[in-house]
Amino acid sequence: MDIEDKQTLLQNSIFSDLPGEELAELARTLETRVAQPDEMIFEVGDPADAFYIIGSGQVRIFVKHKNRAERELTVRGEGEHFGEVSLMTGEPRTANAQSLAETHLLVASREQFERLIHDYPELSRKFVREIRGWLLEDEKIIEEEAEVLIRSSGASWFDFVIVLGVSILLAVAFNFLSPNGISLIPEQPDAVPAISASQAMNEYSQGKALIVDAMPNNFYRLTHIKGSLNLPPAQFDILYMASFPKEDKSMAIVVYGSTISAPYDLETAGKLLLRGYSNVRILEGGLKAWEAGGYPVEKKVSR
Amino acid sequence: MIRGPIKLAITSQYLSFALRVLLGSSFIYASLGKITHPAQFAQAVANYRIVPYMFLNLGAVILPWIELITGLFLIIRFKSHASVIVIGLLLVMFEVMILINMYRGTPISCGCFDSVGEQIGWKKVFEDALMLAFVVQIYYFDRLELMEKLKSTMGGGGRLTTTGPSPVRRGERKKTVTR
Repeated sequence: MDIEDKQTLLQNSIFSDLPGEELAELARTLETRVAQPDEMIFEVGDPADAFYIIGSGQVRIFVKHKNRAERELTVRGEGEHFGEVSLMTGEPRTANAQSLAETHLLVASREQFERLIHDYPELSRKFVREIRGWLLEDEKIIEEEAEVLIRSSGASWFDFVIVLGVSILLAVAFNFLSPNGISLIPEQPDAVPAISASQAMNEYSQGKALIVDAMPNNFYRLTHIKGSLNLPPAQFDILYMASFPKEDKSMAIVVYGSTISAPYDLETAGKLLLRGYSNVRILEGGLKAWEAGGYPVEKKVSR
Repeated sequence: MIRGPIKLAITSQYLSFALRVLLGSSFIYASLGKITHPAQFAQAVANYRIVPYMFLNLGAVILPWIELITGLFLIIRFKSHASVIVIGLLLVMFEVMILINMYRGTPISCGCFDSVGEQIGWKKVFEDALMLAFVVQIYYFDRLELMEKLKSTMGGGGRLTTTGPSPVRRGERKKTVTR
């Protein structure tokens, strides 16, 4: 590299703002170095003794981790520089520099570098700005990576599909195989003739009809038609055996008690019909209609 | 404001771990009796008088399995984020169903852990709310996995090679991201 080439190089480098005579001086005094392909120009821990400007070729800056993985920080090319960080901080090298091809370098010694920084404060500002650029870029990368991770750690719709899908599949399969399995869609109990509240009241007041409350016992205890018998379908057999009048199978029976979740009245009525009772009817409108008619009910005295 | 050490304890990932195991095993335990006796569970659900008859059995068969699977997943940390959300939604649903029936004034059994079991009441409401608090803690602070991932990513190993040299120590800035 002759002096003219050096000067042209310096004019297009970070020193571009330096006065012409300074550039000419530098072109005269800066040493040159040729690095062979794959040559290590400096390594982590080396004393910081020089600043480099690349005349031609390429230099890779990288660090090595404990686990021997390498991380490339940057690749520098013609007109670019490296090696200033350690010179500015006064610490040993924090990264490795390796030439990728035959590389021609301009080398400023520590003393030359420090004099330039001292004489041209604008220069150090340039370096700081450059380093800040790296920091910002790094910050951006870290943020992006973190965002990807955070997003991937959240739940996607697919996760819900898996969780619920596995549950439903296992539930249906187990229910199918289990001896305790139940039919998934409950069969509607057979229809039973109905009787209106007023007509039922009529028969009830004459003592002709037996009123049966088919609700579960805790509901029955809360409120029921006065004198009614509690016969929920779940405990039908036991209660029937224990306390149901069995003499007259043709007696009038009025069953009530159903909710949105269960047609207790129809179930109990069906069971009574199976036992041979012929005159079983469902109270139209249930307890509500009965109460609305102002007919007698029994409520639990609150404990 | 919450003071330092207490805040640290509440937001701790170790607390998350403990709560995950606790909540997960509660849900697994609660599901077992219902899975083996779906008919009784269906009756317990019917007592709430909220689920329509057509869907009663379907719900009584599926719900315990959702409890089992989410509880299990929560403990083994497979799809645990989705699981804890599902558990949270279930708890909110239970809470609403219990409160509706407390308002109606019917003394029904909870059907929470077994089909016979305790009656619904403020105790159950409180238990549910406590478990919901567990869910919130786990949802927000069970990030152990994430921490590990972030550590390995930020620590090196070629994933950040694309741009930007950085001779600056990375360790110091890790915190600002994972905070």
